[in-house]
Amino acid sequence: MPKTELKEYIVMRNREIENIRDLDVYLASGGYAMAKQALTSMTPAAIIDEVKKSGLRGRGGAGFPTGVKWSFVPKELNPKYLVVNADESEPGTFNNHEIIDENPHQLLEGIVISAFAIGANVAYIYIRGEFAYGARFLEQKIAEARARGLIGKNLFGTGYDVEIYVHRGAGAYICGEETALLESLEGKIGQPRLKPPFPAVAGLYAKPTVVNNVETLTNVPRIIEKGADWFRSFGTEKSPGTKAVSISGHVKKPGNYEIPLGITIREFIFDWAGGMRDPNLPLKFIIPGGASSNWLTEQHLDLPMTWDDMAAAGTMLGSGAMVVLDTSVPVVRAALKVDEFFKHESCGKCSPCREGTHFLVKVWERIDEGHGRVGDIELLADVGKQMLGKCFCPLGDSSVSAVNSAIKFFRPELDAAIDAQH
Amino acid sequence: MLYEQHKAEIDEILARYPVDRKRSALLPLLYLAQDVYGRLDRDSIREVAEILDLPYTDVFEVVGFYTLFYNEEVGKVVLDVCDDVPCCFCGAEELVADLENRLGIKAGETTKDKVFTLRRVKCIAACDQAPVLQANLEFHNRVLPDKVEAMLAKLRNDVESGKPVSISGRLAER
Amino acid sequence: MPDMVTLTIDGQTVSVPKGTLVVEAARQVENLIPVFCYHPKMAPVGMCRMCVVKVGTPKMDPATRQPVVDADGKSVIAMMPRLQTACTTPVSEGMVVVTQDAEVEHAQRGVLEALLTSHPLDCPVCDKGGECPLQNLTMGWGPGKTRFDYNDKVHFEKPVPLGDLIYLDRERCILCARCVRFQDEIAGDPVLGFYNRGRAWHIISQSDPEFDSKFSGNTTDICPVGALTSADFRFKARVWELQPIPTVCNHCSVGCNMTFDTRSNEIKRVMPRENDAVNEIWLCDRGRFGHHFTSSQQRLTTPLVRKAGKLQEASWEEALTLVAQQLDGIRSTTGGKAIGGLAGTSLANEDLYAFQRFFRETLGSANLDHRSGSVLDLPLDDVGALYGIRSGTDLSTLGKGTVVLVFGADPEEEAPVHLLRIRGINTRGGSVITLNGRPTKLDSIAKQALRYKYGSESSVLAALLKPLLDSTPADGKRATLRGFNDLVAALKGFNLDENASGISADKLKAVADLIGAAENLVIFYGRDALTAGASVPAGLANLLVMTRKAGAANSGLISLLKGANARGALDLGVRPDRGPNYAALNNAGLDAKQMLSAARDGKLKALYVAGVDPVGDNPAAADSLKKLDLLVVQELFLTETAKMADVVLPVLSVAEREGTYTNAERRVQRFRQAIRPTLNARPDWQILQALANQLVSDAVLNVAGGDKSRKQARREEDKARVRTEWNYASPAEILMDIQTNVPSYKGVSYASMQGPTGQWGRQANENYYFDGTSYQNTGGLGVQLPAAVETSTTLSLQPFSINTPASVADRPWTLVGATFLYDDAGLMTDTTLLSNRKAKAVAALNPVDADKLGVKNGERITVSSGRGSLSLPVHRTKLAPEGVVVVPVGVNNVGLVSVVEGGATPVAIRREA
Ligand SMILES: Cc1cc2nc3c(=O)[nH]c(=O)nc-3n(C[C@H](O)[C@H](O)[C@H](O)COP(=O)(O)O)c2cc1C
Ligand code: SF4
Ligand code: FES
Repeated sequence: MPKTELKEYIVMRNREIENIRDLDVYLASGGYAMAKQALTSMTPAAIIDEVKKSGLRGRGGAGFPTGVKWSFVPKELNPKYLVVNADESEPGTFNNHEIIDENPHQLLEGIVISAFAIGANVAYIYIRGEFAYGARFLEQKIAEARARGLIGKNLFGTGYDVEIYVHRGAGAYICGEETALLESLEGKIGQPRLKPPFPAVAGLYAKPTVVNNVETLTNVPRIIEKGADWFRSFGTEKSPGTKAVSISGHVKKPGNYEIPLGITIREFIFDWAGGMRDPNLPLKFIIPGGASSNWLTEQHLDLPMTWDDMAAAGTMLGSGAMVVLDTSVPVVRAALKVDEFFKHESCGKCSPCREGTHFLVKVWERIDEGHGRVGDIELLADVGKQMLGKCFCPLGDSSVSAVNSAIKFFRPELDAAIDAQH
Repeated sequence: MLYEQHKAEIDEILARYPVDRKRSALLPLLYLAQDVYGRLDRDSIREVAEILDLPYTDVFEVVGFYTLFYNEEVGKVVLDVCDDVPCCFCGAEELVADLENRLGIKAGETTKDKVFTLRRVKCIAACDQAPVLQANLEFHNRVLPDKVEAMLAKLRNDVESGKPVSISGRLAER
Repeated sequence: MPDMVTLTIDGQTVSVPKGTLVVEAARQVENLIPVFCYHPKMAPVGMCRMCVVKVGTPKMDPATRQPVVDADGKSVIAMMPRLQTACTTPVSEGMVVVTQDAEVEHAQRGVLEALLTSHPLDCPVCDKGGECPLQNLTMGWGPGKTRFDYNDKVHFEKPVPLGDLIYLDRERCILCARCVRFQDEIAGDPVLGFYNRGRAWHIISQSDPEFDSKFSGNTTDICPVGALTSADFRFKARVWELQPIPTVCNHCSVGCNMTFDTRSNEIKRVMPRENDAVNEIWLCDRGRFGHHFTSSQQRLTTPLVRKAGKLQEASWEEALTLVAQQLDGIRSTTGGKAIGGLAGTSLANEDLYAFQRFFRETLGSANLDHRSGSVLDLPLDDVGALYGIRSGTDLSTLGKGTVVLVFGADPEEEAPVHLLRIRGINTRGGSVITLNGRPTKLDSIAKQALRYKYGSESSVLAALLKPLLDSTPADGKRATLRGFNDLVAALKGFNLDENASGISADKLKAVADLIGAAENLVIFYGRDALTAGASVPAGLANLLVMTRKAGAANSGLISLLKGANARGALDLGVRPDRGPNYAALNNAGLDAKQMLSAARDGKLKALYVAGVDPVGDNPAAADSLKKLDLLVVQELFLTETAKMADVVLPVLSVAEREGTYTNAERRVQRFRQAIRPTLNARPDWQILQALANQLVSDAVLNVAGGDKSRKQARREEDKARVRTEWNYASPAEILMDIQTNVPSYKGVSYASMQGPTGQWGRQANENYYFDGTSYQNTGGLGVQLPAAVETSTTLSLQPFSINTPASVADRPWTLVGATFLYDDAGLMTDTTLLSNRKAKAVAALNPVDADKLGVKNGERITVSSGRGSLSLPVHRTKLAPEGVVVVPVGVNNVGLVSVVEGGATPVAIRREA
């Protein structure tokens, strides 16, 4: 199968241009020219329009059209805020990590343009607490850019000011959820807020706020530079552009790849990521979009990697994190580990998630330890059903993915795990 | 005390947020207090609350919620090994066992000499580098068995040589 | 009329106001949707997920924006793909809600099972058992059996104290956050929080002291499980054995509705009774835990008569006859003028009415007061009744458009539940303005929190009145305001001295503008305002008049007087200058202070004291009382005054008898007998009736000796004055007399006070599912009296003048006596639970001042005025503004009475070596 070519990088340009993280290199490659162009020659409305036309969808997981989100911000309410979601905590996901470490200025330039477009004068980068280095690094990069008048007051003589601050989280997956993130940014425990109101209307400090993922915003300078049509020349009609995808687990070449949206899973795993690590251990299943997503198996290898195709197959592209596991992995253990994650990260606010994840883990645990009981699979399925769609935020629902996937694809293995004990 | 000794840093942190939203500075200030005092005990938490004019309870709440705030005693180096999917199938369990063995402690414990605390943590966004850990939030990638000894020796040496340590990662370098 | 929305719930059509939540709408059709975290008094949070139901809305045609209709012309309903939480979903037109079907049941069962996975199921030893929403909902909506392995339950150390008053059982807690939200939203004391996360989440309190709130007891009511229990009630009784008897709290002027829950003739606990117009469903901790005085071993058990210099037990007959004879003797030799009467503000209306009758009619004396004659007495506050809050006002409904001005008052300490109600108005969109001499808790929510310098109160009011005056058009309206020209004259040439007042004229102008624009204007004032001169209440009343809010709906004054029934005492004429209903008198009698000096001068021969403690309030009063021929004390306890008395008559407490109180909002409310008296004591009114009858009976006249014909003549004279002998069989009959003779009490009867017993939309015993413990009100809501201004035809401005206190060069500091909730009042006797929270005998000083004086916490200072000096340890706190020393009133060993000159007093401060 011929490998699809990526014509050029959109977000991971560090793979193309060495040391692009240095401001001089970034400037030499045309950096911050787009910010200048946007601020000096475009109206905010025109920028939003261009982004809308590009069809850029949020890279944080839900795939919501970015330009549309920006247009929800009420003009008349001030101040407004742009908040950059750099919480990247979904198991299997590490592409923001690379953008921050290797291509920070493109992210910052994207922030400047986007803040201008929505009318914000302050942007906060909420970065997960574990990225201590990334946080310090971004602060240095911001300082460099500010020293050259690329961030700060009266940018490019337009009178427009923008300040960018880095705010470190402190270890909580739920703070990736945008309203929990805002709570955390306000100095509180990170628990999701009731919606409505949505952040666009009442977000940070109850002011209009746009929350966008790191990768989403890193796309923006290139869209301004080359136009919506160019952007749409990548990917598919409904999922235009590229996606930085993280692949890990039992493949030969784990890592980040920027793929044109729409290539198949098979191509991605076998052509791009080098195929399975151990020729004797074939593919068993894939967690295709972060731990939250429903699993896929060999039968799904020809599924195109787009939001809509993945959704149609009952799973999601999510944060663009593919975990590939081979036949050495016991299903029960994998499901247990996934649900342990959700139990660990459950914030405690709502009862189905808080108690349900514990319930699921306890049952998985006893099966894993060899004390499974007849009826445990039905129990897992029923508890999962009672959780799905009843939790306060998607975290609780996500913990049901492993249960449903394991039962759907590996029922015999589960039954055997229990039977073996009787 | 904290405020007087770190006035410049604290004022710089406060300046990031609107004047009537000082509470936003809570997480950064807790990191600072944690570095200065080695952990967040009752007094240091209250001190931070007073700097920000917050009810004590609110600040305890925050300390309790986040995994990177330590209210129990920890060592000079906190080793966080990711044992999440996929790491657990890519050598993390072996790494944890190896570290437990060498340090003579179980995950969750601190060595007698108070140099190392070993913890299992959830995904730290470096899955392609498995088995992976963070030492005071600095990444150590692909910590395969042959690298463990040297890594521990270097970390211990750093501590013993008096190099400034920051369990909160405020001084993290790549 | 609010916009109504029509929807269908389980096939029934219902119309509710726009903005109603589905969960509330369902109560209207009596389909209870189970809830845990939702509470009708707090903003919904959608945490527990118990209330999930199916919700659908009419499908809209995107082109026409009209509902899509099916073949039958009915709109097509698009059901939402997932279940919705009824507690967070507002109704919308045409909505269809399904609260009961297999899918909903399955989900709700799941939530209940989930909640029970971390619950210890220890109902047999749980105080909540029997009134526990978790029990009830489990029976109604839960699975019969859990599939969760019992061994996997979380276990925590059993109850841990959260402060002195409340215990937390973390295993029972279902993490609904009601308690935390109550403290944050309603009480404004953010002292509870959650530690950790996920399943390890648990309640903590890290305030200093722990759970530092005057409202902590309420959390035990609204906790839907047995996680929070009160130290007062833990393991005292099973709730189903309790008899809840409706009563009214007598600790302050709010008049909270509550019940004494009794078993075997003992009060086991105090619970709120729901009355939206008074306390909603809340109590403060003093009210809730301060019932132990009723069962105190220190209560007087039998009459005492002084014999051979010592108080000795006596029979009622002996004691009463003695009192009657002595009074008669004094009356016949010196006349009524030589007899004085003090009846306190914790007496019921019926007692107070009987008391003033006894004095005015039987003894022929106008020497009446409800105060103790100390410098700390509050002046008689008539303005608060004249311009009182309009009858029919329900503070729990006010919000947007309402401005609440709190002037010289600290509601948290003086009338705590008012604090909650003011906060509620703020939450609902009203604005709060605080104008005080020192910081109070309300400042944090106030739109304007202004601090005046003590002494400048009337100037501050002048600065508020002036812009209102200036903006009053010079048309006919001015003429209708009596006193307008006087006010103009009083304000002529007035310019605010900003240095002296501490507030800029602009700020006050902004406040005047806010007040002027208010739809409703509610003004609270308290001790600081009342002691700052008559111009202050007058000026506040004038604010109402000038803004056309006097007598207007939802507007008026609320005066935070001390004592549960101070308003009743004023209304019913227990005062020297006015009779019942503020009727003017031809000859005023002596007030308490004058009585004491008359006694000292030998002009007053007898003093009859009921529920007042002049010596306790001011030890110097003993010198006066020593001179009396007769001192009678009618009391619960052997007070300092009682110790000096010739006769001591024991009375029944609020728990042992019937009666009514009139609260700060002029609501007359009934309390009932909760326990059978076991002491040889009587209700106050009965004692007075017995004496009144003896004083006109042959018995007294015969034994008293002397000229027979003169006696006969006197007897006739008495009978004429007394009209008839007293034969009240119960307080209800006195109340009938009151309503006949006191016009503002017209229509106040047991029947009218009973009134409706439920509040909007509440069904019998619904509390058990919805709110927590039941506080259903079966005892009536009381009757609110009209304020005088409501019925008067002309509006008058009150006499107002600006006084600028002369500064005293060698006394540069200001001493202020402040009310604190937890003081040494007799009603606090034996409530040891609150001992740690009692106000300390300390002088509060701002740290800046303390530094100036070089005093550390605990070091002593001497504070001296022109009258005397006191010595107290210093407490450094920002709660004292600079230049001011704050000392508690009503706390033992303070010595404030010997220093204060009425209100804020210029003093000198010296650091003691
Ligand atoms: C439990 C949970 C965790 C999430 N974690 C992240 C995250 O780590 N990073 C991220 O960008 N979005 C995350 N999201 C999605 C955000 O809520 C939000 O949709 C996103 O930041 C929007 O940005 P985008 O439109 O640019 O994608 C998470 C959502 C949920 C429910
Ligand atoms: S203690 Fe009671 S009110 Fe508070 S969170 Fe727990 S269950 Fe809810
Ligand atoms: S979520 Fe509605 S009652 Fe708790």
